[in-house]
Amino acid sequence: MTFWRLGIIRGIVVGLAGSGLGMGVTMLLRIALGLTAWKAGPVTAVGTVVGILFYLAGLGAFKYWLGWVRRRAAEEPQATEPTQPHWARYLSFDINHKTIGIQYLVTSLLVIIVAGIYQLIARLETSQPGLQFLSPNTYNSLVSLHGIMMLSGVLLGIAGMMNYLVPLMIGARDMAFPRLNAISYWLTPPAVLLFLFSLPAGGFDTGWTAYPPLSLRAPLGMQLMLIAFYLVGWSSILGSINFLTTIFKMRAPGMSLFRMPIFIWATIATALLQLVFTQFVGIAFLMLLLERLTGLGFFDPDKGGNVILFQHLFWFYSHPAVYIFVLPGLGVISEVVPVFSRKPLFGYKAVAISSLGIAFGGMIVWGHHMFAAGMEEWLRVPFMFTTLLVAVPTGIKIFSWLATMWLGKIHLETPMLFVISAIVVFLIGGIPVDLYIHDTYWVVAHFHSTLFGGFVFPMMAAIHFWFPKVTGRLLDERLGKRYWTVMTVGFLVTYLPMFWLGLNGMRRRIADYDPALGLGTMNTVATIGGYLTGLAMLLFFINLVVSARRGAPAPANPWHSQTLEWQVSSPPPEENFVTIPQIVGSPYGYGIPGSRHALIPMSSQPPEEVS
Amino acid sequence: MPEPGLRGKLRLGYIVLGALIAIKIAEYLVGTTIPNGVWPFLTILALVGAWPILYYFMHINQLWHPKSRHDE
Amino acid sequence: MSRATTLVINRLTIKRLGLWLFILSESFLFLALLVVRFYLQGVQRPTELNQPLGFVISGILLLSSLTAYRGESAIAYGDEKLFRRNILFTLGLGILFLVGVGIEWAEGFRFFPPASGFGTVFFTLTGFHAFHVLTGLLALLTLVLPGQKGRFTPENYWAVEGIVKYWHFVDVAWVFIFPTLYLVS
Repeated sequence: MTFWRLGIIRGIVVGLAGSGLGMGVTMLLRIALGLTAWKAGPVTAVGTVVGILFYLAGLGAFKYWLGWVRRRAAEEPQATEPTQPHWARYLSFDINHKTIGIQYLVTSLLVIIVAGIYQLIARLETSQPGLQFLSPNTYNSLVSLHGIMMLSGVLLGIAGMMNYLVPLMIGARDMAFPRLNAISYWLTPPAVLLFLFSLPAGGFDTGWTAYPPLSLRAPLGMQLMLIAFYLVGWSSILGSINFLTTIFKMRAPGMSLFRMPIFIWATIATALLQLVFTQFVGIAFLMLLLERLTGLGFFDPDKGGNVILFQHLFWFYSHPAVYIFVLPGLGVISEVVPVFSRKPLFGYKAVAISSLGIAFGGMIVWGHHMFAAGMEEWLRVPFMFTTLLVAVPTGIKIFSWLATMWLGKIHLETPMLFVISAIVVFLIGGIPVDLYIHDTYWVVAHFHSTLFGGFVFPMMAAIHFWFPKVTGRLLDERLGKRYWTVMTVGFLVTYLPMFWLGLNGMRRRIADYDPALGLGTMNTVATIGGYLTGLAMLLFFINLVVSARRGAPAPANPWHSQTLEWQVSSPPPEENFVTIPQIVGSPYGYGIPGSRHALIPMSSQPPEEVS
Repeated sequence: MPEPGLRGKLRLGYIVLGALIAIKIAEYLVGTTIPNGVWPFLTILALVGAWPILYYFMHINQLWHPKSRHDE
Repeated sequence: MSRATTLVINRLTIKRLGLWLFILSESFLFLALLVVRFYLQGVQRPTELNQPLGFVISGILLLSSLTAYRGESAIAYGDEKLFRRNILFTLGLGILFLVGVGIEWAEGFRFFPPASGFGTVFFTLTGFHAFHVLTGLLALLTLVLPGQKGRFTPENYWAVEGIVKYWHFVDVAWVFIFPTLYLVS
């Protein structure tokens, strides 16, 4: 095979050429208009946008549609030649949802590693008062990049889980729009690249929230970040169109709404939020970009603008975004708990509806991020009230998990261990945050707990749970348990001190602090915790790589689960289901004699009867 | 739709456009003659104007009445 | 009904739902822009704004919606000639609309430049909308060639339906933008 056959190589080469072309044309245009040829902002902006379009074309993303316009009947594009090795499809424009799911997950893990490393560097700087080795600007750039890249990594991670699992769980052969699905994924690699270039291009010292006016004056790195996150945003909008259509139109016969696994309910809620709210952050970032490039006056009071406008638009997305991040994780918990407790999920309908409840509640609480920003006074009490209201559906879920575990035959394997960590940590994260500790480490510890409890631990549970299905090999259970121990301890050692630090006046986003505050010791402890977490991740990757190559072969259903994805071989066949299954009952009928979720006619193995 | 077939559909198009133009003119008169406080009227008129497009031109009801054929 | 036909029908409803979801998402983009207009400028409007021109281009866009509708109806009943003619009309009217916006912009640069309060709002809203018109025109353009070759039949014309729906959506967006920019006071 030749390298040229790999979609990603073609995409990069053609994309770079397109980017050069875009920059060249812009510079010529500027000369024609009597301006200086080079001005970093506009020239690189045009170069980036043109480059991305060329890259998609080079990748082969538009091949099908162009063929449709030109020819009578368009044939299905072949992503990889039969002569290529099997891994080549992961580097090409492949339209199978399982390939795309894995592409998303691998990209997500890569982004999370890089973002984690940035923070570990920054953490080393704050472990003692005084400036060690970073300038305040570099420190802030690292922290800001850590934030925005982690968020992107989380978005990619949930998209990966949902891509892999949704069609399998509802008994469909693929997503509703496979090509659109591939485009959603392939929008993200350029975003990752732009994030990486952001630091050499001067970084940005605004924090991930990119509040103006600071973000209007920040270096070029800001612009790269804005475009990158805009791409990630469109990727998640297109993805959510796909998920919603797939779930509403392509469920296997017999799968009524209340026979869907909870993860599917969580996907619906997540996708609805993404579909609607990502537009708001998109437009906010685009407005920043336009103001930086063309001098429109959205956020400049001299030109009739208003900086608070940005914060409204931004948090109107970014608060629902918290639910976007945690809802799939809560869905995973609801999948894992019944399997490892061998009991039906307690209060299935309430849990299903509570996902939507969280989604709708999450739409109206954004103002609590702005209590200290000079927001309109009268808005405070309504936002406080709505914020308290969202806690109700979250509580429903937690009580359901506890009631499911109650008197169950609990099997403490790695996925279940992670789920338990997740529930505990999520509760810690729920400790209310008050006006007086805005912008302190309390807030940092609070939202990291929510994200660890709502995303990181559930995602780790998910990876340990579904790894045998994806790869056809078992993960090393012993290493998995060690990883869980180090990870949980690392988390607690990092963030419990941060709660204390926040209460004692440690502010966010500062590289240096007064030694007289006496915060040095606790900061050192937090740093040690951070590095423990890094060590844990190293163990995790070793386990992933080694087990994927040399792990014991996995049976089709190692955990004796009832949901559909476990009723096919591991890894699943190319088309998921040779015959579309017939759904006959609840997905969680564990311990109920004769209970069945699905009948799969003519499959290689009968669906498992669970006791 | 009293008249079936293509002719009926084309006629319906003219009727809808007529209504839309009428709404536009009403909007315009409201906006140019009344000096202030017109936004509630304009909002109502815009909503009233958007509905025929959504219903007759975009066939929004196909979403809850899926038909086997393309026609509707 | 055989299994094969059910699948074909499902395919169409799937595509429709997907498109409607996209339209829903896009309408929130325009909603955000309208909110920006009121948040920044309230209901202010400069007297130099060319209301008659705005009215005329609104009429043009509405008319293009009619021709698009006629094109879609024609192909649904297999009248290819009427279909082709109406798609070309729609393209022409769309271009005319963009020309109208261009004239507005030229005037706008003189009276309320982009860096002024109303200018920011005006150029953003019309700019975003014009971008959607442009993409709609490009999409309509892709219908011309396959249309000449007689590729669309009453049984299979999803491409026409989808693109025409998008075009109507662009019109609906303008139905809200026009009064917001030109008429409130």
